[in-house]
Amino acid sequence: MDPIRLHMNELPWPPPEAVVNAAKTGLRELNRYADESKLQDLRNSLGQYTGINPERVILSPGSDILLREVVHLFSSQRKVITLCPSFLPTVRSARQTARSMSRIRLPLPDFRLDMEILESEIQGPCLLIMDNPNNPTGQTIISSQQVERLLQKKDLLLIMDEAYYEFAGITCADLVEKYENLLVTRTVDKVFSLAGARLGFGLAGEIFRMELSSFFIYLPRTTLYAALAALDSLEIMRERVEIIKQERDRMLGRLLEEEVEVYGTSANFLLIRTPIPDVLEKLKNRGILIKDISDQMPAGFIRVTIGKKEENDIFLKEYLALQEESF
Amino acid sequence: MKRIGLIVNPVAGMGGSVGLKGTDGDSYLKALEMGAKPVTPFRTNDFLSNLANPDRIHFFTAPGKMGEEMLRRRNLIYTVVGQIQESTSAEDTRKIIQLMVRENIHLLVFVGGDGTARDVYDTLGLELPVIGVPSGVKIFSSVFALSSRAAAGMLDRFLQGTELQEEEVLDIDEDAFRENVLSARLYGYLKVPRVQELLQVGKKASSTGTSARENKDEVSRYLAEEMEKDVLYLLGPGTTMKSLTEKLGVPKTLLGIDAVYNGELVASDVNEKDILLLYEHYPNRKIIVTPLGGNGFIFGRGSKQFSPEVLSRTGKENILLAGDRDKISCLDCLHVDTGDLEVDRSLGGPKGVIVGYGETVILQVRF
Repeated sequence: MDPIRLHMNELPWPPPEAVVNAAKTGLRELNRYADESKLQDLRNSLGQYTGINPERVILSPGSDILLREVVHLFSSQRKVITLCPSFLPTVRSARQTARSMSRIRLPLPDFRLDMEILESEIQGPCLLIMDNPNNPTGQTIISSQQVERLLQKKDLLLIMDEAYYEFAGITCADLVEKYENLLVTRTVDKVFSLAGARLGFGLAGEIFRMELSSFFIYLPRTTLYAALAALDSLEIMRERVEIIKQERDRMLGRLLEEEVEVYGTSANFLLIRTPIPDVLEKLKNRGILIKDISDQMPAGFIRVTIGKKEENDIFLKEYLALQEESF
Repeated sequence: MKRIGLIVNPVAGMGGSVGLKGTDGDSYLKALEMGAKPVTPFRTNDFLSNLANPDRIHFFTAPGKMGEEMLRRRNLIYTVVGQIQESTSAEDTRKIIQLMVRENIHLLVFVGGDGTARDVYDTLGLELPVIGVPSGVKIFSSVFALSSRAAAGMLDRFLQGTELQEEEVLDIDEDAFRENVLSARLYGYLKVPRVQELLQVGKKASSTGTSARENKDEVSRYLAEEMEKDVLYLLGPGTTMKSLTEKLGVPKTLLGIDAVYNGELVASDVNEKDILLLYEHYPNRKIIVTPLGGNGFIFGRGSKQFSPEVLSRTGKENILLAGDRDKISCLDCLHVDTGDLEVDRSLGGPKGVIVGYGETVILQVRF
């Protein structure tokens, strides 16, 4: 039996039938690269979905690839500022290319970003990369007003990774028209049930739009057609997001009842500080995959993606049984 | 066939089930009175039963409950060395380890907690590699494997051939810990097989793809390049500082503080008085220290030589922090507790720790 996948922040349901059929059309045309006109259609659809001029939409096979490209382009002459914890692939990219890097700890118990520290770090040419909501804490760490204040700083480039936007409902995307030094990255992977198709995109302020003009990637036809169809089925996506949010809140309540150290989030996962030794392996043996995030958090932190109700129930049952055993 | 020592602290971990934090001193008797059951036989069995190639090992072990009983039950090849008292103590541990060393063991496996690790360090130092099977109430030292099963994995990897690395042994004040005060100081280092993903602290290293040694090298290279001319540097204890002095080509007192000026060693293993005397002659000075792994203490737990007076005469801006990326990245904050609230306050607030070449993690210093 396949394990229950609660480790990658994917949506648990397959894509809607119309999206699968669209991908099949792409399959039949796999001998061809994607049409530029279809790529433009996708930019238009994403522009409509986000309310941003399609000319500012930059397509990428996964938002992490776009983030890596931006880090490579802009970090060699700049100090990179990011958060700890944060989305690690971006940090690793910056480590290879940045002139220097500062990571600001989001401390317990609420993982709040200290704006005073952040602003004191912004000296000279900087590339600030933040994920909002933050992964893996799941906290919304900055407001649109605070972002706007930062964007007025001279010589600052700001990348806002909004991979979990649809769950949190908070964005600063509208600022890309006004501020040339802002890039917002998003993903189609998660909420549209298209993780296996890999599609991310950027909403670029003018500096990023110009510099990324050569960043052109022919997306696979399957991905392209599937994404176009998915963007035509926004209602299904929104319904699914609502179900996940309800499940997230139900899980949170249940775990709190059992006195689990659990942190509510604005995303499609929960953060747990566990006292159970070898919890990953123990859950894996019970057919459940979760994410260990102790590489950038105090000991014992795990991240659990919200799955289908029945999957979540199995997780709750197994986790609470393990907790009982460990006491 | 490899010759592996196995020593079990039979009382380690017994305090946990009855709410005692550790079994130092009288706490062991108290734990027994409260109905505590031995924990180490279970951990030891778990360790032994998960070995992939036990037939490639000849164990040397202590009599009875300190190792022999568990090996006999699993029908493994072993030789018993020495004798132990009815009521075992740290003295038994030390004596048996000495005998094992005489038997030319290649590595020592010990089952216990931080106290046992200290006994092992006292006897063995860096002479031989060890694997710690965690069985204490609280494990703060980074020498331990993640679990008894992980310890078995480490031994298997050692048998196949791995590099070794030094990890911290911490001295935890159990009396203070029972009062929920974490009082820890660096006690020493033990050599362990470099299997990062199986170590208590080292497991964080697997995700960065950089070994602890490469990381130390990166940090110390950066520090060496950033060191200023005509500034006296006081280098705190630890392997990161040792790596720095290797770059500078000067010796380092591993657990002490050394003073370097323009790339030359001017004083070694200095105490508070020595430091204050040095300060009379060197108007520009900086301190470089490594936060204590696990709890993030920078002053007040480890190097008492950095007294409140020394720290206030140095100033927060002249204190540099540096450490292992994976250990620092999982600290929530840093701590100071110098005994002087004014000094603690002056050190409080955000502070960067150098964790790579040009890479800093900024944490709050709390007091």
